[in-house]
Amino acid sequence: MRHEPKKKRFCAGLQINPKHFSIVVSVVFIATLPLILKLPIFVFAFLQVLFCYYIMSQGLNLMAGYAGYLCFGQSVFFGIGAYTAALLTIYTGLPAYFVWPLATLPAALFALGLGAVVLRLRGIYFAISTVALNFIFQLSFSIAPYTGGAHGIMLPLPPFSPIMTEYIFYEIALFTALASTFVCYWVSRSRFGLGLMAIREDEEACERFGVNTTKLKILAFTLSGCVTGLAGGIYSAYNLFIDPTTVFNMSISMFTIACVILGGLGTVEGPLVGSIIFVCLSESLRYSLGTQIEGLHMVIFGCVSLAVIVFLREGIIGTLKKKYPNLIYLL
Amino acid sequence: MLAGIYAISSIGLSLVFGTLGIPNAAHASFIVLGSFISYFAFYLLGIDPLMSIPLCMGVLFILSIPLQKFSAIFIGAPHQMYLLATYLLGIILENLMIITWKNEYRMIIPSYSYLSIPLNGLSFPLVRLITFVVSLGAIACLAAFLKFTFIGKAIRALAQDRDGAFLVGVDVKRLELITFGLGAGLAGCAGPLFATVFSFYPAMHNIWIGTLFIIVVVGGVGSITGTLLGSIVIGISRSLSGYFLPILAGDIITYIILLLVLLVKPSGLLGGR
Repeated sequence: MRHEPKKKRFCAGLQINPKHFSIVVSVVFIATLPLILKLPIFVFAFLQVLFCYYIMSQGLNLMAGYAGYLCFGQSVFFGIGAYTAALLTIYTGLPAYFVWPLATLPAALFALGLGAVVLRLRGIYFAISTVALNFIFQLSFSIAPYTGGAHGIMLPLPPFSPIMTEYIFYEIALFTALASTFVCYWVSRSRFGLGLMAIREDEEACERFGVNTTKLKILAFTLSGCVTGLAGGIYSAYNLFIDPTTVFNMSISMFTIACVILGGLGTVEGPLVGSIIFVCLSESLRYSLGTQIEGLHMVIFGCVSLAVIVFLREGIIGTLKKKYPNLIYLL
Repeated sequence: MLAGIYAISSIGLSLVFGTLGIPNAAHASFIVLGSFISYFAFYLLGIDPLMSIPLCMGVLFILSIPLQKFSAIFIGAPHQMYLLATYLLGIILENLMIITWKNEYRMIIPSYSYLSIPLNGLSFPLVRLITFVVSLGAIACLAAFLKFTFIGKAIRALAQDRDGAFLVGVDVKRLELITFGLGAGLAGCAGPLFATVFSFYPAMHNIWIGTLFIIVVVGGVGSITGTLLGSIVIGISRSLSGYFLPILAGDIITYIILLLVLLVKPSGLLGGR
C-alpha cells in the first residue's frame, strides 16, 4: 500500500503496471550486476556463449515451436550473420561492435528466399531439405575466394581495455537477448502467432479456414532467420575470429534444437531454461572432460539430449504447465 | 562409377525409411562403423575388404537390434523427432568411435588399389569398378530377396500397410526388427566398399548423411529402382560438375536437384505414394 503513491509520484502521468515495473527493475539489476561484482573474464566468455545460444533458441522457437516446422539448418543463418558482420568490418573498416546489427539483414533475406521454396514442403521433407544446408554452406564458404576461405577471418581488436570490451559485449548481448524474448512474446500473443499455432495443429484445416499459411510460414521463417543472424553477428564481433567449420557446424543446429526441446517448444520461457541448462552442462563437460578424452563430452551430451526427447517430449516448461496450469509466470 | 557406391549407401536408408517410416539419420555412422570394422579386419587379420562385407553386415545387424528396440519408443511421434533422435544416435556413435580410434583419416589400401583397366581409351580404376559391381550385385540380391522370399513379401506388405499386414497375420514387431537390421546390414555392406574408395573418419557421417537423404528423397522413398535412379542422377551430376565447374558447385547442384524434385513431385522420381 505504501509503495503505490510513491511510484505514481515518481513517474507522473505514466500508468505503471507493477509487473512491467518488476521486469524493468530486474533487467537493470542484471545489466549492472557484473559491473558491481567485477567478475573474471572467463565468466563473461561463458555468458556470451549462453546469450548466443539463447538468442538462437528463441529464433528457432519462433519457427519450430509455434509453426511446428523443425529447421535443422539453423547454423546457416547463424553463419551468414557472423560472416556479414566480419566481412563488413573487413571491407568497410567500420568496427565490428558497431556494424553487427546489420548481420540480420542478409540472414533474413536468405531465410525469405529459402523459405519461399522450402516451406512448400511439409513435415519430414522440410526437415530433410534443411539437413543438407549446413554442409553445403560450410563447403562453399571454405572455398569461396572473398571470405577468407577455410582459414577464416580475423577481425581487429576493439580499442578498449579487455574488461571494458567484456562489459560492452555483455550489455549488447543482454539487450539483444531481451529483444529476441520480446519478439517471441509478441508472437505468442499476436494474431500472427495464433495463425502459426493453428498451422502447427492442423495445417490443412487452417488453410480451409482461409488462413494464408504459406505467407505466415515464410514470415515466421524470416523472423527466425533474422533473430538467429543477430546471434551470429554478436558471435563474430565478440570472438573476432570465424571460420566455416565452426560457424556452419551441424552441431550448432543440433545444440539449439536440443535447448529448445529441453525447455519446451512453443513457450517463451522454454528457450531460456533449456539454454541455461544445456550450456552449463556442455561447457562444464567440455572443460572437465573434453581436454582429457576427445569426444566423451559429446557422447554424454548426446545421451542427455536423447533422454530429454524420450522422457520430456513437452520440455521442462511444457511439462510444468501441464501439471500446474495455475502457476503464474513472470511473462 | 560413383553411382554404385551412392546406391549401396542409400538403399538401406531408403528401405528403413520407406518400410518403417524411420528417417534413420544414424545410417551414415553405421557406414563409418562398417568401414572401421573392415579396416581393422584388413590390417589386423589380413582379411580382404570384400571378404569382410559379411562380417560387417553381421555385426551391424546385431548392433541394430537394441537400436530398433529403442526407436520403437517413438512410434506415434512426429517424423522430425525421429530424425532428431537418430541424428543424436549418430553423434553418440561418432564420438564413441572418436574415443576408441581417434578422429583421423584412414583408408583401406589393398594390393590392387592402384590398378586400372583400360577400356576404349579410358581407364577405369579397378577399385571403383569392383565396388560398382559388388554394390549392384548386393542391390540385386536385395531386390530378389524382397521379391521372392516370404520375409521379403512380408516386408513389402509392411511398407504398404502396417495395420493390414498385422491383420493378415504378419508378425509386425519381428519384421520391423528384421527390416531395421537389414537396413543396418546394408550400411555395413557399404562400409568396406566406402573405405576402399574414399578415406574415412568418424565425423564423416555429418557430410554424407545429407547426400544420402537427398538421394533417397530424389529417387522416391522406399523404392529400390527409385534409389538406384536417384543415385545415378546425383552421381552423374556430381561427376560432371566436378569436371566442368568449380568444386563447390557439385553440392549446390545436388541441393538444387533435391529442391526441384521435391517441388515438382514431392514423392520422388519413382515414388508411388
